[in-house]
Amino acid sequence: MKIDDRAGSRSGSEAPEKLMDLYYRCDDSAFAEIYSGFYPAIVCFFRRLGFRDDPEDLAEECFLKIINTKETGRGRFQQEYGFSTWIYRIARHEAIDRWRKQGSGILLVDAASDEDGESGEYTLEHLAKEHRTPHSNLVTREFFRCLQHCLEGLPPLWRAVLLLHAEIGLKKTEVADILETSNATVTRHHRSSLSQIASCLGENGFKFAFLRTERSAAGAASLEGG
Amino acid sequence: MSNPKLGDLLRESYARDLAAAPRMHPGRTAQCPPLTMFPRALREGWGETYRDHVPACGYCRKVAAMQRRIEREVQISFFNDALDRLIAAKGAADQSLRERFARWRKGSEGAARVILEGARSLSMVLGECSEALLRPNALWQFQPAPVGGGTPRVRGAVRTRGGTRPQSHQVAVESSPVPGAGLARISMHTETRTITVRVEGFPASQARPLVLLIPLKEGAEPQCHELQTFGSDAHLHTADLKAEFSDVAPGDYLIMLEPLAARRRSP
Repeated sequence: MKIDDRAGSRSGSEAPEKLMDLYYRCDDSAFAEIYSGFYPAIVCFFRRLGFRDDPEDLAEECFLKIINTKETGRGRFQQEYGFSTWIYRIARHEAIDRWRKQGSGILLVDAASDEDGESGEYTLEHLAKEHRTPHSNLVTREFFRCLQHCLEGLPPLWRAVLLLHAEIGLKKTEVADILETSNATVTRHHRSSLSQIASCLGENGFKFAFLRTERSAAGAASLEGG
Repeated sequence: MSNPKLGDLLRESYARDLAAAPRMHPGRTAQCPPLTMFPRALREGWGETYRDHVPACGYCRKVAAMQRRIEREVQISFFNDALDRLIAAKGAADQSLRERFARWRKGSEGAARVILEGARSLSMVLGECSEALLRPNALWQFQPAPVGGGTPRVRGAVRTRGGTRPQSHQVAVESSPVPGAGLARISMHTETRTITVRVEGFPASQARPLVLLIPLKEGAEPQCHELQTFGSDAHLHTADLKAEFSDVAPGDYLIMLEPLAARRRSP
């Protein structure tokens, strides 16, 4: 993957894996490129996990940790893993440390697994009258405010799964690597979190219905968050 | 027009957040040094360009504090790994040694971080060391020693380069003398690259502590020596002990002294 718009940077630049290699070979400009490509995404990661006070500081510390992997060799980036997986793993540990220091909920890893469930998507079924506009435009500030409220109500692990998979668009295998859990657990939490979000939005006038899809390649792709 | 899907809306919500996120830390100014400079500069001091700016800048002070926190975490992780390795290598066949290493995990009696610089004329800097590496009320707390023609301090560190101590090839740091435990001293002979740890006036009847030299570099092997007697005072019932680590390569190291056995039994 190149540093692209998903990560919040210009396209057409070197792949971050290559940039890390250059940085480890003492090219500090490669690090600057990684920073500008991923810093906004890491700030977003912390914000959306509920760190409202200092997501910028937490993100900065993640990048400082990356620099320290060069200094000591400890936790060094390995080319066989994707850079996104590695940096979000660092960010996840940063979040866990912060939660631990705050004595609040910890991003626990649930190793339990289950069978992959049914495939489908939550689709808007009904919009309460108060949210209707002349253009039936759902994508309103009110909706996103409500969505944010519902996301904040999710358990931390579910929130992390939803953020990494459904929002950022990482594959389930990558999310499982970041969270150090199984694909089945990611699938289960993804489904549960979508269900809870849909239910929460429904209580606020945005009713979503779960529409089953055939277990086809297309259905699987849509569930991957593609 | 088909109804929107929740997945699409979540992605849109994230995209909005991402678009609004800062491109760099909001506290950072054009005068701030690059982030990559912090680890080295905090060890060696800031150059002329940033020397005045860093202490006056809130962002730089914040990043410096982050870097120190990260270094402390790294030190603890290297220390725990070193003990794991020693337990596996030396403690496997020796129950008593295994127990000593396990007790050590709760903290050392003394700890120092030394940074050896330069390929030809080696110099030693006493770096910052995590307090979490020490046991509560640890006896040996190292202070930079006033040796030779005087050694300038750099952020709590002793820096001895060619110009500062031209007559001597040895640099040292030492603890305050502790009744019942003596005085601990870490010195480095810059020509032979030998690090010597001495404890002078140590109770002769007490079990001699082990000393660990831990390179803060992934893959480098820690070394563990027992302090050996090289002198004694029969009248005072004390002994002078030392352990030597020779041909030490330039780098960043932790030197740790094992917690004393006698203190373990005290309430």
